[in-house]
Amino acid sequence: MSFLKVDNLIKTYGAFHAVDNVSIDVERGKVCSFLGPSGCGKTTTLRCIAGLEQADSGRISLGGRTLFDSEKRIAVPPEERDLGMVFQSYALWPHKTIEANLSLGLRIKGLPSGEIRDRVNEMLELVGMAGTGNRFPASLSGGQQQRVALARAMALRPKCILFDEPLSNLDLLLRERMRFEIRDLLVKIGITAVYVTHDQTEAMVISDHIVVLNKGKIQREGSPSDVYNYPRDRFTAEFLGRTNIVALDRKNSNPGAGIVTAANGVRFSSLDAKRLEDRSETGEFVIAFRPETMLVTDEPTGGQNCIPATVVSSQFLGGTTQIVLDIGQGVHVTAILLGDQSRTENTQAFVSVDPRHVLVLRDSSAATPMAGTPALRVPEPA
Amino acid sequence: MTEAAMASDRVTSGAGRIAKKIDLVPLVMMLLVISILAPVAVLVYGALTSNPIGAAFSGLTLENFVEVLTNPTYQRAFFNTVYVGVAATAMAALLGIPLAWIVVRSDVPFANLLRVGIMIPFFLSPFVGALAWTLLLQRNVGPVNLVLTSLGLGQISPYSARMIIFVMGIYYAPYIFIFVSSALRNMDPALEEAGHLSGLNRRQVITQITVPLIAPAALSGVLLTFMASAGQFGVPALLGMQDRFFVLTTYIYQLINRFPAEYNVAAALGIEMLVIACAGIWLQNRITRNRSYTTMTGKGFRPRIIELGPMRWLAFAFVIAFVVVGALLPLGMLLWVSLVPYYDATFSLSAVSPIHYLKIFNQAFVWRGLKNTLFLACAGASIAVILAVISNWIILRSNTSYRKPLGYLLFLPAAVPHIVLSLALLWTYVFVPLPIYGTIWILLIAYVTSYITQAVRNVGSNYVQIDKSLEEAATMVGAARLRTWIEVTLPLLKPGMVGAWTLLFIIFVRELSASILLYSPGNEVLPVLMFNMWGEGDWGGIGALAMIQVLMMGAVIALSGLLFRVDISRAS
Ligand SMILES: Nc1ncnc2c1ncn2[C@@H]1O[C@H](COP(=O)(O)OP(=O)(O)O)[C@@H](O)[C@H]1O
Ligand SMILES: [Mg+2]
Repeated sequence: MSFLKVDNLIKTYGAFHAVDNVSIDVERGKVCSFLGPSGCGKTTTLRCIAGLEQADSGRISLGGRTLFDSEKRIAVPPEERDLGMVFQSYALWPHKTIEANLSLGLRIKGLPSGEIRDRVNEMLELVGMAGTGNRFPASLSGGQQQRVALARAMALRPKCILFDEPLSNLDLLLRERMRFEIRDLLVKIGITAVYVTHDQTEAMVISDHIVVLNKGKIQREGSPSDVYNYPRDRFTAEFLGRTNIVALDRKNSNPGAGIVTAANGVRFSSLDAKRLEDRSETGEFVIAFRPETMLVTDEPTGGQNCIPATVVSSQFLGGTTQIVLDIGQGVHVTAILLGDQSRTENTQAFVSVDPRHVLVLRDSSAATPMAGTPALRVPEPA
Repeated sequence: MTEAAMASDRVTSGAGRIAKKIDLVPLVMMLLVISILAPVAVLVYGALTSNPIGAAFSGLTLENFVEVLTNPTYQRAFFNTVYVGVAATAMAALLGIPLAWIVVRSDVPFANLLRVGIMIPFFLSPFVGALAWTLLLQRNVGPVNLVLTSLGLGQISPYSARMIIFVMGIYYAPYIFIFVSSALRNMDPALEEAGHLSGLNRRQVITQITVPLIAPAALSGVLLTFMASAGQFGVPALLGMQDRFFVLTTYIYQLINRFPAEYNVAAALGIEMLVIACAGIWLQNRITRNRSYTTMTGKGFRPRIIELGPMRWLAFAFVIAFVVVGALLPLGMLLWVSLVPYYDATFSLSAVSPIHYLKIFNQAFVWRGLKNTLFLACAGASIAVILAVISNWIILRSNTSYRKPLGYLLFLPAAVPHIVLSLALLWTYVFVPLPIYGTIWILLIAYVTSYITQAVRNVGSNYVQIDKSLEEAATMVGAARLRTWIEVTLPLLKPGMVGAWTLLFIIFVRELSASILLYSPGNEVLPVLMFNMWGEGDWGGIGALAMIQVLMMGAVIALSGLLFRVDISRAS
C-alpha cells in the first residue's frame, strides 16, 4: 500500500510538457529519488506534490488523503498539505534567527511556547546544530545552513518531506558527507521522503527507490541496484554511470537462448535471457555492459566471452585504470580496472565480460551525457 | 465526516483562497486603468473636439492637430522642446558619465563624500536650481555676474535658451550618474581582467569591454533624462517665458492660463508631447532590449580601482567644481537672500535678519502650503509604495494571466509627461461628477499616477532580489498568504520600501510640473508658492521657502538613514 501516490500527473507550460503523465508510488517510511538531467521535470513534479505549482491534470494523495485531483477539482493549498520541504537555496529567512526560522511553523500551528522551545531544541540536536538558536543564517556555513533547513522542514513533523537538490550548493567533500548524514537521519526518523537530484551517486546513497525521469517521462524505476545494474533503455544506462554501447546484429542474435552478436561480429553468449529486452519486434536495440564488469588479460582466460582486442589507450587514474580497447572493426570499448593495471598502447590483450552484466537495451534516443560522467563514445563499425 | 465530505470541504477552502487571490488583481487593474488610461482617453477626446472643457459630446474634428502642426509658433515650441531636451541631455551625460566613473572606478580622494555631493543637485531639483541661478546671474548684482565683470568679462543673462540647457544639464547630471555608477558597481571586474589577460591594453579594455557593458544602462539613463527634460516645466518657465522662448510645457501652461483658455489646442499639444515621449520609450526599449548586462544581482562586486596618479586631483577638482556649481553656490545664494531684508550685492553679516522667515510664517497660505506639501508627500509616497508592493507581487509572484498587461500598464505613466497627465486629469475630473476637481485629492491622484512607474521599479528591483523560495518556505510551514507577507516578504522588502518612500517623498516635496495646472486656491504646495512668489519678485520669501524645503528633505533622508539604514544616494 503506497503512502504517497501520484497518478498520471501532467503539467504543461504552453505546448511544452514539463511533466508528462508521471505516476509514482512511495511506500511509508521510504525514500524515493527523482533522478534525471537538468530540465527533465524533477523540480516541477516535486512542486506539484508540494502544491507550489498546480498540475494540469492527475491525482496526488498522501496517506489516503487527496491533495490534488483535477477531475474532482481538489487542490489543497500547500500550507495544509502536511509536507516539509528543503529548498535548493535552503531558503532560510535571513532576517530571523535560527530559532525563529524553526519556530514559525510551530507558532502558526498554535503550539504552546514551552513545547515550541523543546521541539526547536530537539530538532537542532537531531541535525547536530544544538546551541545555534540565537544566531542568524548568514553566520552559518553552507553545510550548517543545510542542516538547519532540514531541521526546519522536519519541525512540524510532516507526513512526508520533499528535497529539491539540497546538496547542489555545497562543495564536493561536504556533499559526499552530507549524503550519508541525510540518509542516516531519514532512516532514523523513518520519514517518507522524495528527493530530487541529478547526481546518480547521491540518488543511490539516499534512496530506497529511484525514479529516472527524462523529458518529463518516467524512463525506469526500481531499487538503486536494479536501476543501475539492469537498466532497460540506453538513456538510463548512460545516465547512471558509464556504459559501453555496441551496435546489435539482430539477425544473428538469439536472445531467447542468451546469445547476441554485435554488428562487428563479436558474440556474447550464456547471457541471462530474462534481462534481454529484445522481446518486441519494433524499435532499435543495442548491447551494453559497464566498464567495471570487464576484465583485461594478456592471455585468453579460457572462460566465456573472452574477446581478442588491441589497446588503444591506457590511463592510470589513481584508484582505477581506464583502458580503451578496439574489439574489432574499430569498435572501441572502455574497461575500468581496480588499481594500476596500465598497458602499453597498440599491444594485444583479451577482454572478458561477465555474461550476467551484458544487457540488450532499447535505444531510447541518445542520452544527454552529464558533466562528470561522460558517456563512452562507441563508434559504429566501419 | 466522511473522506469525501472532507475532500469537498477542501475544495471550497482551496477555491475560496484562489478566488480571493484573483479578486485583488482586477481591483488593482481597475484602479490603474481608471487613473492611467481614462485620463489619456479623455485627453485624446479633448484634442479631437472644439468643445469647451466639460461640455457635452459633439462632433470630432482634426482642426486642433492641424493648428498645432502647421502654426509656426507651435512648430517653434515643438522644435525648442526637442532642442532643449537633446542639448540638456547631452550636457547631463557629458557630466554624469565622467562623474560616475571618477567616483566608482578611480582613486579620487574622498569618493564617498563626493558621491553625496553629486546627488545634492538631484534633491534640489532643476526648478530650485533655476531660481538660484536667476539670482546668481541677476543683472549687475548677481554674484557670478559681479565676478565676471571684475574679471573684465561681460555679464551673462539668466534668460536664454542656453541657460535653460545649462541649468537642466547640471540638475539632470545626477540622473545619469545614478544609472552609470550602479552599472559600474554591478559589473564583474573579472570581465575587465579577462580582457587584460587576452592582451587588450588599458584603452582597449575601456573601449571594448567597459563601455559596451555599461552602454545599455547609460542609454536608459540618457533617454529617461531626455524625457524628463522635454517634460520640464519650471526651468523653461523661469528662464524662457521672459524672452518669449516657449517649449511645449510652458505653451500648454500659457494656453490654459490665458483668457479665454484654449484647452483643446493645449490637449493637442499634450498629445504631441506624448508622442515624443513614446518615441523615447520605444527607442529605449529597442536599444536596450535583451542587453541589460549589469542586472541587479545584488552581489555587490568590489570595483577595480584605477590609479590616476597626480591626475586624481584634477578629477577631484572636476567633481568639486560640479558640486559648487550645482549645489554650493545655489544653496548659498538662496540662504543669503532669505537672511537679508533686501539683497543688494553686499555680503555683510550685520545685515542678517529673520525678517523673511517671520513674514512667511505669519502668512496663513504658507502654513497651508506646508501642510498640503507634507500631506501630499507622505500620503502620495505611502499610497504609491503600497500599490507598488501589490503590483510587484502580482507581476513577480502570482500566476494570473493579468501579469503581462499589468506590467505594460504600469509602465505607461513613465511615457506621459507630468504636465500632460495633469492636463488629462483636469479634463477627466471636470467631466466626472466627483468632488475631486479643485481639491487636494486631484493633486494626490496626479502625484501617485505620475510616479507609480518609478515606485514599481524601485520596489521591484528589491523584490526580485528576494528568493522566491523564501516565501514558499513560509507557505510550506503552514503560513497563508497574509502571514507569509507579514513574516517574510515585508520584512525583507522593508529597506526597499523605505528607500522608495523616501525618494518619492523628496520628489513630491519639490513637484511643480503636475501641480501647476491642478492646484487651486487653498491647495497650493511649496513649489507652487515659490513659483507664484517668483512672479511677484519676492526673492526673500523664495529663499526662505527653499530652505524649508531643503530642511524637510534633509530630515527625511536623515531619518531613513538613521532608522532604516537606507542610503538614498544609492537609490535609483
Ligand atoms: N514557469 C515555467 N515556465 C515555463 N517553463 C518552465 C517553467 N518552469 C519550468 N519550466 C520548464 O520545464 C522543464 C522542467 O523544469 P524543471 O522541473 O525545473 O527541471 P529540473 O528537472 O531541472 O528540475 C524545463 O525545461 C523548464 O524550462
Ligand atoms: Mg530543478
